[in-house]
Amino acid sequence: MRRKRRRRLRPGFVAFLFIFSFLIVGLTVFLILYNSRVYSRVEVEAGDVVLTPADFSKNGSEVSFDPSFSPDSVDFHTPGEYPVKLRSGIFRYTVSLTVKDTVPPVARAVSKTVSRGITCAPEDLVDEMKDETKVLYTFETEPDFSTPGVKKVTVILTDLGGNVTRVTADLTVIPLYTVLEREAGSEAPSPADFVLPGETVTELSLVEETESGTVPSLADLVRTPGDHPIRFLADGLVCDCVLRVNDTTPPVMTLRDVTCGVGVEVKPELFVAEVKDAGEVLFSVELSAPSDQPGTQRVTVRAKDAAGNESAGEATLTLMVDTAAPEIHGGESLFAYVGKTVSFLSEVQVRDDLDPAPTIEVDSSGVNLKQEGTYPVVYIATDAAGNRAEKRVQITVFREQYSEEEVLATAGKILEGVLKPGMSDREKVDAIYYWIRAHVSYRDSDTIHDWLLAAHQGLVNHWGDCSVFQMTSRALLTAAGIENRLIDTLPLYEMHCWNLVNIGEGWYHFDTTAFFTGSNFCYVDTATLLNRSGGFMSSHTFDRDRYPDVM
Amino acid sequence: MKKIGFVLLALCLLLFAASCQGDVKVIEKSGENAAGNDPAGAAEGYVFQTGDLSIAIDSLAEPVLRALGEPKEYYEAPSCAFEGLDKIYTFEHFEVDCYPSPEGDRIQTVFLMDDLVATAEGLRIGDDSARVEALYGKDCSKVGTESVYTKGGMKMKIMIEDGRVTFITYQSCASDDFE
Repeated sequence: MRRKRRRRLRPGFVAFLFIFSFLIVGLTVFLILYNSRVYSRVEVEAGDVVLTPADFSKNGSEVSFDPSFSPDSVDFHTPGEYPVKLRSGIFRYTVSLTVKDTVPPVARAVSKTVSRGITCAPEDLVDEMKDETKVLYTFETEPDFSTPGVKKVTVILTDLGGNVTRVTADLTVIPLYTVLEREAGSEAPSPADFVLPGETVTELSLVEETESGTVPSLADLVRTPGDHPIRFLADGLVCDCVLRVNDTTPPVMTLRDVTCGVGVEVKPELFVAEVKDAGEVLFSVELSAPSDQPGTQRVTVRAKDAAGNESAGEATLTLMVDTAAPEIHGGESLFAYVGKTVSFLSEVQVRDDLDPAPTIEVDSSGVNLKQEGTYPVVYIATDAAGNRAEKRVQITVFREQYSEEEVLATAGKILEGVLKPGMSDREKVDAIYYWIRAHVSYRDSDTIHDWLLAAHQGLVNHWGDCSVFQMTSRALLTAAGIENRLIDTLPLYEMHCWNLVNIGEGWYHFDTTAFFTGSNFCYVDTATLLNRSGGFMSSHTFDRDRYPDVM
Repeated sequence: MKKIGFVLLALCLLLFAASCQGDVKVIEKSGENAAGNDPAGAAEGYVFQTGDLSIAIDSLAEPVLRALGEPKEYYEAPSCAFEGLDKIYTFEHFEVDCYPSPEGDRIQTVFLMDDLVATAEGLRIGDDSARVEALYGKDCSKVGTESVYTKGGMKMKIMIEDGRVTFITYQSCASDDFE
């Protein structure tokens, strides 16, 4: 058998193969390196996107935008492909950025009312539309605007991504004007004025507004500028219309001359004796000379109402040197009660010959509203020229006193709204507990030793410490005819006090003080009381010998 | 030799193909509108203003008390509602009550004592009831003659007697809840 003869490769061919292989491997490595740094294609959902080079980075490579590229050139609210030029190391890239919209529009249907023969656009029946790309609105079926009645109309919303949403709304076609205009202060329209020409409405009446529950008066509404919603019933069809009250009439002012001291702030209102306008009016004043020198000058007063109508007039301003101090009247019989507030300013009147608004300060630093007694108060009035007056008075602080009849009467009045006829004693106890917890806030103060004062504090002022809660409970329970006693902690423990009630089942605990733990201590036995307050600094550790009959 | 060449070529093609895997990235949308999550937009209660200092109910008391300086009067007592001491600081024209909390004392109440201070909205002791409604609206609960405005987890209580404001209190709800 003949042996196959191995062909020997020429050295040149081997070299070629070697170089070719080297090139292939080299190219492959290059391409691998090139592709390892940046994604070749990036997709993003349309919306408010902040594009950064890192969005294109693969494997954490450092990437930057090419100087010739700006992220602003990408419209993230229009789907499409956008080329993005990047750099990473020695490589340059053009990456395709795809903006897509896959989310359908979201919108809310809105009812609309139109007059017969008047059309509306599909977007008028849609509200709160949200989509990241532009949306086209179309009617699924064109509505009939020529026949009165309520129609269900479907609007189709299509965004640039081709996503579709359907919204169905109520369209009411009415035989009335949807908007009737009148000038503010003019003769009030009648309901018949709302009927379209050529329309026949047999029964037309105003109906009550949904918010206020009252039937509006057109005569009242026509006095106030603005859009006033009106609801009619026209032959059984509910028609929502608007009475639009316009104000095109400028304000009419009656001006007066003013004399005041140099340095006084010259406010325009000083010159206005009377103004007539349908709405609110703002005033301004122009002086013809500086106001820091005595003398007489003409001033121009301008008025502008809320609708923008303006008018102007002239008056005389006389400025004089003010040398007389203001006068302080009143304040002689100032008094207050311990723990209550005082109004210093309402007790005095300050008048000045040339300053319509002198300032008033009060030095009450010597007053102690927490203790009975008599204390000094100093009123200081200063006018614009710097003239000063001082008046020293005294304030007497009393401690209030209430009789048991007064306190129980107050409690009884509260119970009228709390208790219901036929309630059992247990229900009454619960109702009283919940009223106190809901209406009396915890706030510490000097202990009130008078139980009637403490009860009044809780019943009327709605705040206090545990003694106030205790006495408020006592007053309400007593007024409700529920047998009750007072109880407090052992002297060595945290000071606290509460109540005991007996509705024929024995004495149970009744503590209305607002604990931050939120624990409910309404009609509980001792074990429950101590269990619920167990972690709270022994707040209910009482002397069992003093209260042997507590459950 | 040919076989080695073909193997080498196939290997290169495979490696190249592998490097192109996962070459599409989907960006999660950034810069989302955080209007609903803005902590600064969280509801705030009524705040008492004295000079440049704002006193918010339930805020930590230490910086407030430091800014207010020496009180006219100070009183403390074991609290019946909280674990620790109730502290009452009386200043010129208003009183600040504090309650203990794990983070430190907090502002429980600000009580206006006279008409020489006003609320941030301009209400004073002695103002008429119409001004209350003009400044704070009608959305309140009524307890007897007291109007209680709840906002941002706290209450502003305004007592009206004989048509005039007699009490204005900023109040915490810290101990209001119960089972």
